[in-house]
Amino acid sequence: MKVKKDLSRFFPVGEEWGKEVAWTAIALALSSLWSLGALIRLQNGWRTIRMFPENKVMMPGFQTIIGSALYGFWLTAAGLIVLAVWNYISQRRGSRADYTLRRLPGRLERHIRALAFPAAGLAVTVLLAAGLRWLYFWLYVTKTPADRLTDVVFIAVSREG
Amino acid sequence: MLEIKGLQKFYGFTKALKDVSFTVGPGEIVGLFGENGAGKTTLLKSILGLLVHGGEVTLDGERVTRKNIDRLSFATCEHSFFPSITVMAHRSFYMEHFPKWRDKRFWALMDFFKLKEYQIPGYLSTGQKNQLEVILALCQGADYILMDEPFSGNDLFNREDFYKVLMGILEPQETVILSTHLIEEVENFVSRAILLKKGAIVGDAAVSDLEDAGESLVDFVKRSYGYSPDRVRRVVEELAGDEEEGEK
Repeated sequence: MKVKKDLSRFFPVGEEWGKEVAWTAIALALSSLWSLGALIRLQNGWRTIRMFPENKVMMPGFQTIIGSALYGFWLTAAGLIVLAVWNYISQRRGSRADYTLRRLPGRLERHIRALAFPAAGLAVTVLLAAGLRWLYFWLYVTKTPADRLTDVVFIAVSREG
Repeated sequence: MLEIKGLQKFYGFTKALKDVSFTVGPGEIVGLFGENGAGKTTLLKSILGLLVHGGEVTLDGERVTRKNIDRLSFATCEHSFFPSITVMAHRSFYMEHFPKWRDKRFWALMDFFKLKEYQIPGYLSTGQKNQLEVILALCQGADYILMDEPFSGNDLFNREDFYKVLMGILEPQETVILSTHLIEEVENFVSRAILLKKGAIVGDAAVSDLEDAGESLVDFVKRSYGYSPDRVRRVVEELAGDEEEGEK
């Protein structure tokens, strides 16, 4: 109960913050699911390579593999930026509560309540997107035969190795 | 001591406040009067730092900053409460942010206005919203309580009772600056009247001085505003003359 009350400090006054958290979690879950498209494209590439071993079919470039896989995260990020703006607007909906928030001795209170969750959500979104991109890249370079990788990636990975 | 020096405010090219300067001491109850658009609301919001303005506002010689902002409270007819949390949640919020919160006064005023702690402001009547707004401003624990048309929408009996209660509960060091159109109603309540016209002060007088001079607050306002008593008669005569010419 105390944790719940403490967490409410990071959301607009009177906002049902559980909903904001739930919707963001759903958006991130859907974005993660959508990103599995990269995995499907990877498997298709590997299958094609296995199907035509003599023809020296090259694996598509990593950017092609990623394609639209991370779009869900960018949409979520955009949604969180809109949420931050909305949080400020909501301080003026139904009353001018922003007057009270701007009169508080705590300078940052108003901004913390408007920005804390969207900023935290944005950080999680970017980290998750970067993590998944790294995972797909790792699978791409380690599970694809080196001679089927495009030169740029192969050279880059070789240098790292 | 609340000191306002050379306060200026522009809305685009329109000068809403023109070098407004005055001082309000502890315990004063100041009526801020003026026609619509005279700059009353702009003045109060500028004092609170809610509007960017020129000039200086000081409290006991110090500029109004986060350090001393809690010495000012604000009740506005626009309402500054949170519409979706209960009255009780407001109490908790104010207690958390304003250490000088006056809890005893809060419960007394809640009882007086017959407000319930579980009520949500968004669902209250306009009159009740005003009451909550005023309660919060009075209980914040501020030395200077700024009120901008706080009773618009309240019935006469409610307002009159409230003035009486206010007179009874205010402590000697508490100062009220009350912006209102209801001059006659607050005549016995305010100790000083400041008149604004087109963003400038056109009158500033202690009510006791007016009484000594045998002038009522309303007459003082009319005189300071350059109100001509025969204005209505002239308009009626002009209109009547036009109609007679039309008939000919």
